[in-house]
Amino acid sequence: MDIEMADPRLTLDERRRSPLAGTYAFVSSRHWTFKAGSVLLAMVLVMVCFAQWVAPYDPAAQDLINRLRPPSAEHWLGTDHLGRDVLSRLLVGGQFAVTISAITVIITLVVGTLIGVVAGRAGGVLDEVAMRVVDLLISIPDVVIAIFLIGVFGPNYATLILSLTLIGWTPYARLARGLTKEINAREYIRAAEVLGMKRSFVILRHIVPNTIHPVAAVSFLRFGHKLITVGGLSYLGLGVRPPNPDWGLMMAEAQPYLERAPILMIAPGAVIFLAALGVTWIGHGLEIESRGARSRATTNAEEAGNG
Amino acid sequence: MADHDMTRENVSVPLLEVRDLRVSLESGKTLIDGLDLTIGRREVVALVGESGSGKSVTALALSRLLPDALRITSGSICFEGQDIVAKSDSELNRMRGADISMLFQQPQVMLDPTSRVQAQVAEPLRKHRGLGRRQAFARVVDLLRSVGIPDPAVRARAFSYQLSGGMAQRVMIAAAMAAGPKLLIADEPTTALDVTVQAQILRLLKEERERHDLSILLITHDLSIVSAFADRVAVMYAGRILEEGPTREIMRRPAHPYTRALIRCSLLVPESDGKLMSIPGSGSQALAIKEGCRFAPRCTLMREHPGLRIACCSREPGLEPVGQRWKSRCHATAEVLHEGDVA
Repeated sequence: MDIEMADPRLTLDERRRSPLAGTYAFVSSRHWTFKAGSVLLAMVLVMVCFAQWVAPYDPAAQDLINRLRPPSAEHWLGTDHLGRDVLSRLLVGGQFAVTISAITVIITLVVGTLIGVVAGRAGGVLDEVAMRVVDLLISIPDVVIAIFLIGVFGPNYATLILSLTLIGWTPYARLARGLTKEINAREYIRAAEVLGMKRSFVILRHIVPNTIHPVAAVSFLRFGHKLITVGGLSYLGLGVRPPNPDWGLMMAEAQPYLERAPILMIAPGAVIFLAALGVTWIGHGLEIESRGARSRATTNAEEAGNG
Repeated sequence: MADHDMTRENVSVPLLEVRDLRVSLESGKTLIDGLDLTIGRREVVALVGESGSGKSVTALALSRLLPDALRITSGSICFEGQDIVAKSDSELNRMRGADISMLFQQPQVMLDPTSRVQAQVAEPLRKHRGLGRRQAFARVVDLLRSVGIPDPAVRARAFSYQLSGGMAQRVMIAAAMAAGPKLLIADEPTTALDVTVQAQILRLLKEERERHDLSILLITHDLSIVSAFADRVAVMYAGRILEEGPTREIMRRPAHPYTRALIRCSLLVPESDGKLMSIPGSGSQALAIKEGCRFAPRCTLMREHPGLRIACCSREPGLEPVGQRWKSRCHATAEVLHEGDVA
């Protein structure tokens, strides 16, 4: 009887789906960079999570007779300067960089978004102070802070994470603050205020959920950035201590043998590149979408204003 | 005994009484200049005027939700005898949604795109009625049914983009009525909707009024919905009320030339020269007029009666009684009434 009841989107939404099919639907409806990135990231994550079981050799087991061997049937990616299996080291070596990057991204995302949203919503002096702090911190490269802190406290998880989060929250804060200003002017915020909702409730229930899409886009872009930074720090000897494997460390160790066994350098470099490319593509795909959604929202609002 | 006195007092005090309300921009420009408005219990009052006359600003001022650049500079807004102007933020939050609710023009953008219908309609229930999540959601389905949404259990789980404009406005009405307010301020609630849907929404608002003893302040520029809907009309121009009184009398034979012109414009019937009626000039400069009647530059009556010119351009008329509960702000009320029925 009612035409609107036949709305196909609603029935699709309400239909029960298996999580796998749900994920597939979620990914397949997105920009191609998002799809390609998801595939790459999924591969890297599977590799990193199951490394312990998949790795053909013990990543720390030395075999000095068979050192610097080229790729062969036994060692698919050859062996390094101590005769360790490169493939095994590559698989296990991702754990450190990916874990550190993921933890820092999550911490910075939460802290940065909250600071940004509160500053944007409160406005005035609080907003001004928060944004000047962001300006100040954003001008310092995080590698400099990392080198300083690791020099003082030594290389360990906590120091690394701290040094990456100290500055890492600033892009989120800046983005979330801008989005909040925009969302704050939207009608549904007024609708919530009219019904007597508290400031904190409006922030958590209506502002934060509406910032998630663009913030997620940035967080994936930053994830790629963090992977490279962590790799760089390890390369400089400020990350994992040998004999534990790590992509950046592997590259550092490969340097003297660049001519004899270039694969030692190329393999970890390529993996860092692919992992970073994967997350960056995801972020890029999300960003394109949210930009589209925001411009659509603006035109809607403009039409509403004219009407 | 004390109980008895309380009820008697409540009946005699109007639900909302606005006295000499002034709202100004930070720059000092006055947008609402000495507004008086009374809304009784179960009464529907329409606030009519052109765009820029201050209708929407009035609506926002009544719930104390003016944008930062606007200030209430003087006056009082008494709701059940309590002055809203003097209330703190948390007191206001307890009142909004529970005592006074609002509806707006664009129902679809009033709904948060990231949350479901049930979550938003449940907000006032959980906040003002203290219901738990589960109870509130169950109540939401009843509310959606009562505002005429088909298949309410499914609709409750929908997002705003899955609703049509009429549906979305019904949802907004459900949310506005959820905590049982006594006054509903509806700011152009049907302007963005199709004519057929408009009628449905207005009928729904009337039903809500019967069911919940609701008073409604209807803000609109559309006179065609006023006569069918409102008990009383207040005509606003340049931040002032020009005429206020019972709908039936005013729509038939207005006492102010501006009201008369507005009604003639809304009729969309050709004048004697074959053209549609329009009021020359625009109201946007009228706020700057310091001396005389604010409508004088556009007033045809003044042009027709040159004898009025001196009075109209030098002294602003007061809001004088014309009949019972009927007031008009014009030097020439007698002449206007003399012109007879408007249509």
